[in-house]
Amino acid sequence: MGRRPSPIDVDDLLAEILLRLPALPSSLPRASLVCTRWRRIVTDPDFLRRFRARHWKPLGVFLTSQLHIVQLDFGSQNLAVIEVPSDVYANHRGLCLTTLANGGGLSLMVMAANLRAQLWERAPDSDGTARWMLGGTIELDKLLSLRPGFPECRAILGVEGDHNVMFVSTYRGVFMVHLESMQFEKIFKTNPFIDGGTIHPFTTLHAPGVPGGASQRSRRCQLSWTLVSSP
Amino acid sequence: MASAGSGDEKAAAAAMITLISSDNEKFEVTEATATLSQTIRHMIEDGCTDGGVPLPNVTSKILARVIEYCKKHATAAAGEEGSSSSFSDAAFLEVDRAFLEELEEFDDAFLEVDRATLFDLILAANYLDIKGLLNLTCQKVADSVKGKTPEQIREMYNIVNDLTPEEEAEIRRETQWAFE
Repeated sequence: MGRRPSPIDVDDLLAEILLRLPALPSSLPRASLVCTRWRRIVTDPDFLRRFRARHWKPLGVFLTSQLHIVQLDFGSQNLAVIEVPSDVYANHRGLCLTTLANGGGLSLMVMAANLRAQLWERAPDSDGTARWMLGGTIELDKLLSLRPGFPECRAILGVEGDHNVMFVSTYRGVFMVHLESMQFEKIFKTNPFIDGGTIHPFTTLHAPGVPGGASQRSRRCQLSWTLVSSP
Repeated sequence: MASAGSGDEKAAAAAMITLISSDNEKFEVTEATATLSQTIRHMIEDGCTDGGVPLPNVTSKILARVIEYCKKHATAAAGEEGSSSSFSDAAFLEVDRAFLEELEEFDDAFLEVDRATLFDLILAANYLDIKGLLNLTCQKVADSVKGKTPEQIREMYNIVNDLTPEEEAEIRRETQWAFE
């Protein structure tokens, strides 16, 4: 094998390392000045998407409580009440609407009693009638090392479709789970949501002034890097 | 709490796997320890671990460190699943917190290695697909790059600057805002 290979020389591993740089505005510009290979890696759109997903954090939360799905059609000004899937109705520990469905239709994430999170999607069946279908299951007990039998306070607080993250309330604190990578982090060490509630993350994107003459690409980079730098 | 082992834990402890390093050293580990590696987990699932698992990319020195990490973190996973009935909720949380702190201290001490070892651990974690170890070791390298100038980074990792002065000037111009 000769000389010992260095992970720095392997593109995938260098990307793994640079993904873990702090979300400071200067992190990626500095890395891109090291050499052409580093620049290629940190300006790759896929890398930037992963970097953003990894570092995105909500600036805060609002709390509400939610019991029904009420659909308000702005066009017709009609109100409709949609029943949640009968399978999840009996015993769930938290339910929230999402924008995660493949077709972009109505979907909801529910915490079943067995600590599995289920994604339900509402889609028309062969008769054209809208029905709930199970779109996927996440084993939160395994992912977050939750002990079976530990009482209460485990619930899904919210799902943020744009960033593909879910918030889960547990006895070990409140976690944010990145649904794509299944990476998670604790955003509250204690649990302010013991009595239930919903989390509504919010974030802002303030673009810096675009200096004259900057290329289209650099303008895009500025936006992405500013987004991740919003604390 | 360690003595309150369940039947399942004993069954898991009984299943041993032999890992063979590139320099032909054999390591006996429990299945619970070995399956922190997704690569080995898949081999076990496919039933091809009889006679040992050869790991031609990992030296005995590095494999010993990797196993040390997996043992500690496998114990963590087993502890998480242990019986809770004898603890009140508050005591339970206390044990949990103490345990997580211990694990963090272990990880910090584990990373006290020279750069060559750290790099070998990254390669091994990648090859064996041990997510926690890959995260831990890559973060350590990222921390060493953090806050450094491009010149300092090049010097630290013997990287040749192949950007032309024009390219460098262009990147600096485009990213000027980030340094202000």
